[in-house]
Amino acid sequence: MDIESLFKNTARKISLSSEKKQKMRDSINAFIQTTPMKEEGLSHFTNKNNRIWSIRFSQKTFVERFILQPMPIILVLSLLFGTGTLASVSAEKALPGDVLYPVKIGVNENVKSLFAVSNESEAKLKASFAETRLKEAEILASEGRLNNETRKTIETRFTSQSEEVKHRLNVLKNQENGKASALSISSDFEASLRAHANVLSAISVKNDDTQENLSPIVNATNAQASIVGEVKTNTETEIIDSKSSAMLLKVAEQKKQEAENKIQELIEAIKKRQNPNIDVLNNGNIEIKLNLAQELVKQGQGYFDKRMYGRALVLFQESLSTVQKALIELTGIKEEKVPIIPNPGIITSSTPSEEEKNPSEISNDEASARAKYKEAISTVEQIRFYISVSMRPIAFDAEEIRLQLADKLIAQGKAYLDIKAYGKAIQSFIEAIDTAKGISKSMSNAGYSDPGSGGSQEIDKIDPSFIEKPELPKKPMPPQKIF
Amino acid sequence: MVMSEENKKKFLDAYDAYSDALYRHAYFKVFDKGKAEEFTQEAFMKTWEYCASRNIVLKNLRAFLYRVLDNLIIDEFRKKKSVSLDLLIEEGYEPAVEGDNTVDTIAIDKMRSVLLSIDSKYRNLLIMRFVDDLSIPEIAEILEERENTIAVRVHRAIKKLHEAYKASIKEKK
Repeated sequence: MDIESLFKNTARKISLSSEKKQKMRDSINAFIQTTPMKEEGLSHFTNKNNRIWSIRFSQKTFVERFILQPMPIILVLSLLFGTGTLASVSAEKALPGDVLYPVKIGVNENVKSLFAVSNESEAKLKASFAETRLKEAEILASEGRLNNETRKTIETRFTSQSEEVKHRLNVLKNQENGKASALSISSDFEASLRAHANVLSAISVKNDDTQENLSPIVNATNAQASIVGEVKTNTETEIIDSKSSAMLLKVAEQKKQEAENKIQELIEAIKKRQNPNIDVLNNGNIEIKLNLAQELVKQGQGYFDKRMYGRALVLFQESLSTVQKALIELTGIKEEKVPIIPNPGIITSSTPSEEEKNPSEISNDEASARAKYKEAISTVEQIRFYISVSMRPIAFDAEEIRLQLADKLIAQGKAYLDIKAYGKAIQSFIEAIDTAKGISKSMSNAGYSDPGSGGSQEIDKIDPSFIEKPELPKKPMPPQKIF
Repeated sequence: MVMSEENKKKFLDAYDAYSDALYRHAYFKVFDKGKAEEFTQEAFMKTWEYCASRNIVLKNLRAFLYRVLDNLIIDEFRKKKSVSLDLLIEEGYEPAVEGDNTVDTIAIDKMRSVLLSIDSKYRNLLIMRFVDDLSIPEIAEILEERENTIAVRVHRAIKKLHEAYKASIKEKK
């Protein structure tokens, strides 16, 4: 076969899947139905006579202009589906139990999905839907309106939407050039989920009646966060192993910029923090996270200068996630609608009502909190021991800060445990464990787990199972030469 | 009312007819399926918007769509200048494997690296000729050049293609 035919035949193999093609058609159809041609004065042009080639349209894409801003999409919807514009607009803020909630889910969110054609935009969109579910829960809970029914609605939808995100991300990361955005989206989503779990637990401390309904949601959120976290870790490993440094360079640069911007944002937010009622127990954590984020950027820059763009990207991303978590916590605490003052009087008054509850439920909470406490302590101790035994690595500050953060989180959890705020205690312990695991992972990524020459004997005695080494995927075989 | 209904139908027909080709065209310029999908959708949306807001019925919808598509791609390239094509060739990438035929994937990857090693002017011609299946007169019309000029250029481009292909085989050895 000559080259030209080879060329042609190969080219033909690239085409839109019928699914994507149909989807695009639907969204284009929706668009043209709602932006009709004007009636009067139709004129005809040929391309030759016209300077239209040189006209540039607005720089923002269609998606940016229409989908990401609520108002225009509402107008599209209302024209499309004949629901009153007012109804669609009001539906945007609806909560489970409201009359318009079905419109929000069935119409608004569906139409937004219609326009998200690429895997990336779909993943982002579904993630935002899942986060909206959690925000709905937060509002309902703080208004005391979270009952069994509304909780079920939120929980089922949240879980299925999160599952969809995971699915999309797995497809996206196997797509060419998709790894960087898969990493970005999974990190953002995980950070957001963890932070929302924190906020939800905080609400359950203040508002004891809703605790029963909140904990399943908190559990589901944590579960999904772990699942997404896994996807993120896999993507990270693949990125570090990948060889396309040109693209990584650019993406790493962008990520560093993003992280630095967010860090600025956090610094501003901390300065502006006027709410005197912020839970004192949380105060120090946010500052430590800021410190950690800055240190991670430094560490990332170090790798960047050594042209190890994959690792740099991973570190910048982590810095960004840390800041995002801190920001959500900061604002989540501010926006709580119930009085925030941790008046010991209010909290201890929860004890009598606890006795009214099913006794086995109480001890379940307490038992699981204490179990988590033990787990957190042992994990951190192991990491501490491991650090002391391994060779002193070059850029160690980030690990030390993380260790500090982990200790603080355990202390925080213990404090919550003492005041019987079991939900919040568990959250703190989970975060401590995550942080500690993060230390071991980043150390093994940096290659410190290799004893190397002159390594200490004790390393052989350490049970390797507790050190979470990312499973390195088998490198794909280089393409066989067929031509 | 009748007028716009007709136009809408014509536009959708155009979508059915040209979307695959446009997508293919975009893909061979950016080598990114996700982006290619977005650009394709964007091209149709912007074209409709343009016509609707100015009351225009385009005589050559197809050519206009390609033009919009190319402009979108150029804008994107301008934004991301530093990812130079040399590096793209050097580094290679993981071809999309969505349950695909491995032979296809390899063939496409081959095409990609060969194409990227050719000058962009000739590359564009090759894409128009072999990916878009345009005839010499058609290409001449789009680029607003004389047929003869285009015929000569395409011939040269094909020569470049042969050379690049031979070179790539030598390298791999």
